[in-house]
Amino acid sequence: MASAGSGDEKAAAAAMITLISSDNEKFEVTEATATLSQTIRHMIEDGCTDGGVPLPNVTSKILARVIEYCKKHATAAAGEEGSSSSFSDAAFLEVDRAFLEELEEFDDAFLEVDRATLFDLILAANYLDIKGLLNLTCQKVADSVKGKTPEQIREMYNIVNDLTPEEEAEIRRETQWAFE
Amino acid sequence: MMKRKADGSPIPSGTDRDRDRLSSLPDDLIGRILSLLPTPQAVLTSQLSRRWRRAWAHVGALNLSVRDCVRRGRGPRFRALAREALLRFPTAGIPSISVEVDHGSYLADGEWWYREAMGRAVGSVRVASLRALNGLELPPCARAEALDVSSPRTVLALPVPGDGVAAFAGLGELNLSLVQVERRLDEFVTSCCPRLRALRLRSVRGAGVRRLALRTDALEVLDVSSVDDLTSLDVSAANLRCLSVRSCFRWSPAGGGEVAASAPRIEVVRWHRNYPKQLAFRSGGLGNARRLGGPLKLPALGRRDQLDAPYTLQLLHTCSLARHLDMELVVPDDMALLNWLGPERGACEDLVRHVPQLPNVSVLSLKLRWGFGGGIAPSLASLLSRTPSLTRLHVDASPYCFSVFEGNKEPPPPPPRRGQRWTSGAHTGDGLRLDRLREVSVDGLKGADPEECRVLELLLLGSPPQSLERISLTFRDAPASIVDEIATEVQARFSMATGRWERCPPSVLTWIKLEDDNSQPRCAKKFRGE
Repeated sequence: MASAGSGDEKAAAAAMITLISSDNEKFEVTEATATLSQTIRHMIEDGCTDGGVPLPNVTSKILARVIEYCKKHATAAAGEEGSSSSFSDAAFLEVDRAFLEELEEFDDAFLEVDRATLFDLILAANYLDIKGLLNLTCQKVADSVKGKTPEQIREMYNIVNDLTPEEEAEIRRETQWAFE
Repeated sequence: MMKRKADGSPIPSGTDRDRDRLSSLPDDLIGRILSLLPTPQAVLTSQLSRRWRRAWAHVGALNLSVRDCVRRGRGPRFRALAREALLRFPTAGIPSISVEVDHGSYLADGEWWYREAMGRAVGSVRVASLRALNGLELPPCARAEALDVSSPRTVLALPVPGDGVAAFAGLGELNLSLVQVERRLDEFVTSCCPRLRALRLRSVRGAGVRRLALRTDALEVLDVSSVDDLTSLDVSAANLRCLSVRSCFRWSPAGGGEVAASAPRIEVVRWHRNYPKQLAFRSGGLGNARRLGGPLKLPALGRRDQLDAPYTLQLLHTCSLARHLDMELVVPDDMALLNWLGPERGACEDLVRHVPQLPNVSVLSLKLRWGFGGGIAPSLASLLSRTPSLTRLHVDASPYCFSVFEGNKEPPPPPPRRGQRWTSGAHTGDGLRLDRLREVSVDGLKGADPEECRVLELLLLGSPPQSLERISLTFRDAPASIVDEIATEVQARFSMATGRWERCPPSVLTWIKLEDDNSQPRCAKKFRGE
């Protein structure tokens, strides 16, 4: 792929991909960063990334965050090019203890976002098929719901209870099996 | 694409804050989130609203734990829950099952729910017991892709290999923790798990793990940790990428214990503490490893044939082409040397001298331990002179005289500084050429011992690498006043004009290279389109 590149930098420059957000903002990223997204990986493999990759479902604000995540996690996989292992990076990374800790801290800090952004990230991770980011963000939502009553969950996520009292009673009967 | 509620009406518009983003997620994402919850909790969301009434139908995981059942009547309650959940589970094959019990009777042969669950498991299966069980059969999940069994002090019975028929034909990952295995695990793996890609053993005991002889082309990850009974590990795996051996061989009888490995596609080797008598690497052994760590422990001084030294040196020689290295370098003081070597220190020598050239190491994580009076500079300089391609250096500083206080809640007060400067003025970095060094981070500084500053002095005095982009110093348990003082000293002593020191309160000092106006930003540049 790095046709004319002799040094590292040239090789890297040759493997740049342009991503175009829904609001037409362009982001140039390395191929290693971009291919954390399976969706983009497939596009690259199909050779249809010339002139940029339009991502009509992702705004520039969210795409910038997603790229931030991918960059960090792509560094993690750096040096493992050619590795076709299907295992999580973590197994390999444990050697680089300091970096693994850094990565965890990064993930924690990365999730410090408002709810709206969190959901935008979930949708973007799903669309771009970035498994690590999807797991991370879904886990955050699951953790927030854990141990809460339906009323608490509704309040937390502005869920309108559109059930009639009869329906509520019916659902309670239907789901009785799961509770004491 | 307009999101719609279950009844087809568009979601009422409103400010972003008021919108119900959770309910607007597509079904498969809601299913994914519910799959991360205990099953009763996931089912409870049916009561949220109409949209959620059938959301559980998209769930992909069954998560059952006795902890989710009240104490009284726990047994019948758990069984009823498991049974009802299985009867209602939306799909025939279940992608993920997690079971937590506290008694063996839940997993007995005649238990309908258990047989049913294992029979329907097609993805990952986790069976965990919170307490010791009176024996446990390997979960009969013949179609599972990953199996994780954890049960303290429990004899795990492995199935007897049938006649040529692989019992776990699709199993890719097997993780065992805390159990005792009497039948030979390696024979089970060889005969029953032809596609096993990852084998992880944590604190597994018994005769079945005394010898592990694995000849397999499928295995990619072998991770054994705290397997005290292990005396012999013989791996020949064409596709092995990660070998991790930590705290094993503890009971291996004197003169016994051996490891032989052949793994031409190895990428990662982790080794920590406790070694067999023999380490042998056959041709194509582990020489291709790119990452080496554990961390590998090496005393800077001592006997070449004692403690970790011979094995660490052998691993370094074997994997001398590694790019990432994680080491623990211990610089002993007189007291430590006396402990190690006894009164006559005849064979004591500089062990770093025996570290081979490591031409490819670009990332070095170094846990650095020293006693008061133990000068770290020569050892560190000697080690760094062997890593000319270094780009990132992480140092975790921990003077070991502090570790004796670790049991106390309060950290001991740092010794008085007696007017001495943290930056010492000694200059030992002559000849150190790290032309590619971009990032240095030093963590765990106490601010009390000028030895701490040696890492910086080694790298930054004289002619600091032009390639430096970032330095960060993190102080732990150091009073703010001391960090303030040091910040001033550091800025004066290492006043590198290409960048700027900054104090990030309370306890981090950073130096960041200033962006040159003409230079391109290093990372992906971003520009407005049209």
